[in-house]
Amino acid sequence: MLFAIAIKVNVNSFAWRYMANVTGLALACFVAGEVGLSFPYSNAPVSIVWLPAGIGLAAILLGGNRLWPGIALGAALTGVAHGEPLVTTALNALGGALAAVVGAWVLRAWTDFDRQLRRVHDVLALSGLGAMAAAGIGGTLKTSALLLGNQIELSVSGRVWAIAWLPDALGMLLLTPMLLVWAAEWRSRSWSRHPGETALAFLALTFASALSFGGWLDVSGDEHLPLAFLPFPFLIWIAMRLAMPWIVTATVLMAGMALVGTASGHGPFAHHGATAGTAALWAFMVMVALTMLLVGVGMAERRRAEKRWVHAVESNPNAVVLVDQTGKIVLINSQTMRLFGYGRHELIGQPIEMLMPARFRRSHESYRTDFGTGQSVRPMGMGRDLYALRKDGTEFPVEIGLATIETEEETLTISVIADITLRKQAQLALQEERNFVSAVLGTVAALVVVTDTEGRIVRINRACEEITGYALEDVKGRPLDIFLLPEEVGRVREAMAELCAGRTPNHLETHWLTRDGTPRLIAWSSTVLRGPDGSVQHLVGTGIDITEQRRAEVQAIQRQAALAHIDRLAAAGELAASLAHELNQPLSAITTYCDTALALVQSAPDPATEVVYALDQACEQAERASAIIRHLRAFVRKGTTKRASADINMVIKDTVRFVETEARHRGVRFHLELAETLPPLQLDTVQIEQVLVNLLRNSFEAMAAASSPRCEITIRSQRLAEAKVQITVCDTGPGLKPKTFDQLFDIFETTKSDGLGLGLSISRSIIEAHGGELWAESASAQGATFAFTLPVTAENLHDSAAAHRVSG
Amino acid sequence: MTVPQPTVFLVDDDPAIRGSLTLSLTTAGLTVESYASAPDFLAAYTPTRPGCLVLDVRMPEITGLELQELLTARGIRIPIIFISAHGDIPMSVKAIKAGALDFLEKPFRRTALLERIQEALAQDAAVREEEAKRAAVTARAARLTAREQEVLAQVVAGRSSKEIARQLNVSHRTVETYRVRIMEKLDADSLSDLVAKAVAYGLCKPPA
Repeated sequence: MLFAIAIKVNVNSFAWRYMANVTGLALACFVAGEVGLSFPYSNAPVSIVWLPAGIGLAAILLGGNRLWPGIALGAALTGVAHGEPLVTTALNALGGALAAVVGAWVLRAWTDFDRQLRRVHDVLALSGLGAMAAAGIGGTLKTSALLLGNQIELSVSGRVWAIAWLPDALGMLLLTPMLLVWAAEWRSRSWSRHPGETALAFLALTFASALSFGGWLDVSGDEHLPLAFLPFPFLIWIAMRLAMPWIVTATVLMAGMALVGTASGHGPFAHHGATAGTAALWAFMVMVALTMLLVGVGMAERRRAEKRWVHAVESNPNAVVLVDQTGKIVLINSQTMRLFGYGRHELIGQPIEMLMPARFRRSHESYRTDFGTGQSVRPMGMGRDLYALRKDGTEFPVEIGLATIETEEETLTISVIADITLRKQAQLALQEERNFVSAVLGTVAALVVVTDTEGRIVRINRACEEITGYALEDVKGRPLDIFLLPEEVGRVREAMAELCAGRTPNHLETHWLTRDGTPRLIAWSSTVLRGPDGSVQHLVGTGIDITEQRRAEVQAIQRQAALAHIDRLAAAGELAASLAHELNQPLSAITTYCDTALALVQSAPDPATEVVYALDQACEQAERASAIIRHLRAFVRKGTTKRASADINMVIKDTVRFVETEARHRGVRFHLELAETLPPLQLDTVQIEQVLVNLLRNSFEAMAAASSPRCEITIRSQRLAEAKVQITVCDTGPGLKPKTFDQLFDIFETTKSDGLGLGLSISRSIIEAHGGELWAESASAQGATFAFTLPVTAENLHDSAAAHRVSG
Repeated sequence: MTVPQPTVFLVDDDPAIRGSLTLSLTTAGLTVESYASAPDFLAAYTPTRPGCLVLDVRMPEITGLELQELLTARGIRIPIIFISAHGDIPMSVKAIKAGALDFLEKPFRRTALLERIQEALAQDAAVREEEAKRAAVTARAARLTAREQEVLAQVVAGRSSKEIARQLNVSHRTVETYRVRIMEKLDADSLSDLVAKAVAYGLCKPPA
């Protein structure tokens, strides 16, 4: 219910407003018609200007076709007021409305008419198409109305028609633009700017118009026609300087004064031959209206363009400087002033070089002349750091974009100068960060390798380069496989796939091949670098070379095994010690029994010499067996002996004696080349004997295995220049193969089928424990040579010196 | 009274050693008694029996070195020859220092042992003869009267008969008579013999 009422009220208010609009329009048209009719066209039943036509067209353009009844009603009122015949009145009313509607339709349908008249072609469309069509229709119907109202003869109707549209056209040229412009710009208030100048210009225009058409001067007549142009400078002033509303208003003002003056018999258009004078006035007004509209709109258009341009330049966040061909600054934006600290007038007309540091000025002049011949837009100073100079003398880094503007008379260069201080700082910070990262990567001991997701090498750090022997340039872009053992490629690929799938971090031990093909064992810990979108872009591996560590671990395990073995040997040694006692008892008994038997045999009157010999030998052999056992016991009971001063030559002789039986059995002959006057050494005699036994046994076995024709072992002792004694054992065996050479001293390394591989490694540790060195000296075909040194301790040096004095 | 035949006492826990050595030494004309352990030996042995001891070092219960200590502690001075299948230098040094005659490492030749045994027996015989002499002289000295003892002391101190007479406040002749009796009782041939015996066996207290 309420809703319905509301609609009703709305409908009512809408209807009322429409009624008011139509009534207002009708009244306006009526009044305008009355004004127009007060200026009749000479010798014709029409006025010189038909203002309702202008109001009507403006009304239709602004309010739409539905306002046509207002126009018709106004025309009808005019007709009624002047007692026109009904048919004339009706046709005039219809004609006025139809003209406006058709004129508006033509403008809308055929052109992109903007009723705010912002562009020149809007003015041309309005005056050329809209006004002509509307005036044509209006004039035709008006002529028809006069004809039908019997106000004119048919014979003159052609001539009447020819002038009947002119008042309509003038009305439309004068009033339609004024109404449209004021309607468009009323709210913007842009016309209220410069009120003083506006008032002054209008005052001057009024005065000039009054001078021309006011009858103050006696200027009527053809010869005074140029006086009609007296208001022109002021019209032009207004057209150039003031807003559109004032321009159209000024036109109407001057036209009105011309009309009134002429109608009152003043001015250059009065007292002419009636038709000619009126036609001249009409033409004058049309010309003024058109000129003013075109100049005004043209100026407005230009002002807008200029405003856009200034806005574009001013709104640029960078400094914009326009320079002419001579290098003088023509235009700057306010950002330029802010950036450089100059006022506008301090810069305009000055050489552009004043904005740059002195060191760049000279070269810039030649650049500038070169640039004039260049293309449109390009950055300046590619690859160089550019700096600008402020008024206060400070410099700042800039980036400059250049463009040339070619006009017919000159070539301008526009420079857009961007202050890149912040960007530079950011770049500097970034560079510092990069340098820092590079420094870290370069100095860290760990290996760092970066690959793309395809496994191609992007970067390796210095540690990587050092270990592998490759430089980054050698491997950049190549697949990671170049570092891998063929059998490990699959494993690494799997790990990389895992990483790419986001399973990080990844730990992997692989071998890496150095440039010379040596594998190094690396423990890798890898992760990924992601791009801004979160996708995996690079794989980063950080590795530690654990080759030595692993080798040491393996050696430690082997050494432990060796120690366990030595432990068992020591236990066997204990056993041997008690065995020695147990064996010595029966050996002793055997000796005694044999000796007794020997005594008995010898005491007989005729002793059998063979028995005596046999018994004697039996005794000796029992004694030898006992000696061997004793020696063995001393030999295996390591640790029970301590280091004591000993003569190394004696040790050598004892050892040779110990292995003599075996040597004889194998057909090996010994040569001893022992230096005299060697100082006594601090030795664990048993251990050194053990070393010698190991070396001699090795030689025995090597020579036996090779079936050497001549089996000789030379043992040499000599004093070295330093406080050292060297013992050398050379054999005539097959020598050492280069391959075994390196591994000789590794624990459990053996070339013997039944060897334990302990001998040389234990020997080396014994010698090293004594502060000496043990090495294989050569790998010649002449046989193997092993040598070891033993240090002469300070006290023994002293002893030896004493010994020398005594012997000397 | 005949001197009893010296005996070689053999102590070794190894029966083969005992057997072979017993045979070897008996063959050489020696009397041998062998024991398997130190306690066995101690149970059977009386110090008056002449001879020597051939002693193994390493034995269960009481070792050879311990037996040596035990004998020394009891004042038994039988010469000891150590034999060992297991000797080392410190052990032999210790044994020799404690008075052992020698330290033989098994196995050893028969002649070496026989030589040592001969030495040992000779040493033992010498010691025993010396002791017999001392016992005889001591027994004679016990027969001197108190006055004769006094005179002996003065004589040993080197005083003349006149001086002694003055000292003891007796006549010169009386002193001469004492001296003759003392010579007779101690079976001394001369004055020097008398003084030597008296000093060697400690027959008189030093004069006051």
